[in-house]
Amino acid sequence: MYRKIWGIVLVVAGAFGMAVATAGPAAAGLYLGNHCEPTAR
Amino acid sequence: MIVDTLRARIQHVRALGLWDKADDRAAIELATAALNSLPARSGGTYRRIRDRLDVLLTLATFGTGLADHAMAERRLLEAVSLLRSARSGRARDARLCEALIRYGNLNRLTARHDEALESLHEALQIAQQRPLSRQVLAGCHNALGILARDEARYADAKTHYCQTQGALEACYGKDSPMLASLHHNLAGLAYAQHRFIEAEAPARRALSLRSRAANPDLLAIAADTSVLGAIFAAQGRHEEAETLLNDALETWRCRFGPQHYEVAVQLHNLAMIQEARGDGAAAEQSLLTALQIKRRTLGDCHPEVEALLSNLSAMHERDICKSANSSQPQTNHSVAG
Repeated sequence: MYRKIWGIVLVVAGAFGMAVATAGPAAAGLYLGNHCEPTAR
Repeated sequence: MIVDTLRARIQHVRALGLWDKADDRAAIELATAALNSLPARSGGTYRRIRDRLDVLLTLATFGTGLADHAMAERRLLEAVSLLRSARSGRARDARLCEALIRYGNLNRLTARHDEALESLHEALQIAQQRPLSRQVLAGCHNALGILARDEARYADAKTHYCQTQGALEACYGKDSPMLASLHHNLAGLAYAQHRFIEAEAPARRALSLRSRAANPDLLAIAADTSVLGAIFAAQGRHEEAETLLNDALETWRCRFGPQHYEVAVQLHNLAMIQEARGDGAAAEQSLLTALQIKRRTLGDCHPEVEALLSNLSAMHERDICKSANSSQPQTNHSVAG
């Protein structure tokens, strides 16, 4: 029984870990440059 | 211990959900609570630090999104330090590159270009030595390209963007939404060189690729729209430009409120159109609001603040010249009389 509960906890923890990694910031994603604005005149 | 970790992961997922619903304050509070539930241990394997690292990078994303550079910097510095302490391996090295790229990009935004270059070169070195995936390499070259553009090293920027394009096309093909940001940046590079006609095609390409994504990123679309608007404004196509810039302005205002950095960017472009149309009062008001926002988010000595001050002063000088010219005939007349 104890092992079963422990197993469920680990699976849930792992599933959430995966969810967080997926939902979190993309690894080494591409950044947008500064937006275009008029230069100093 | 495992219960704390589990609770922190749940809080983290909920914080991301709140951020998507634009409840920024609650999202930051919950992510901070998640961070505080996780032990601040360093060293060992990547798995050992991953939970804390994920939350730190999320909080840095929130800081960057809100243009709260101090918050983003604090979290990114901890993330870099945590990653440096962990044993080298493919996953750890890729995340270290990611954190260094983000830290470099933050330094660029705050005009600390030497520090930006240092972080980005370190990321590139790691990506080339290991070697890591093409996507990581593309991320390094892209960030170096943006920095080179900001420093007016246009040939270097072009070289870095070519490397980015090669790596991305090898991974995703030519027509993937993953190439949208690259085309956005190519348009920005042409704009910075005052090649306004040449800038239009990559700007349109960025918008078209971005809208093909399964879940289009509305803020990234607003950023692309803003670039195309700025290009049209520079080409003198004021009506088209105004529509696009107002669309972008509305998106940023709705998401982050009227005091966000991106609101200032749109107002600066709109001011130039308003002045060209002869509405000096509206133009001045737009520039003053943009100046107030940028001073608050970037500080008084940032080059973007200096550019705004310079444009405001140039606008005043033009006003004085206009007034003098319009009063000139009357004066002559009265003297002659």
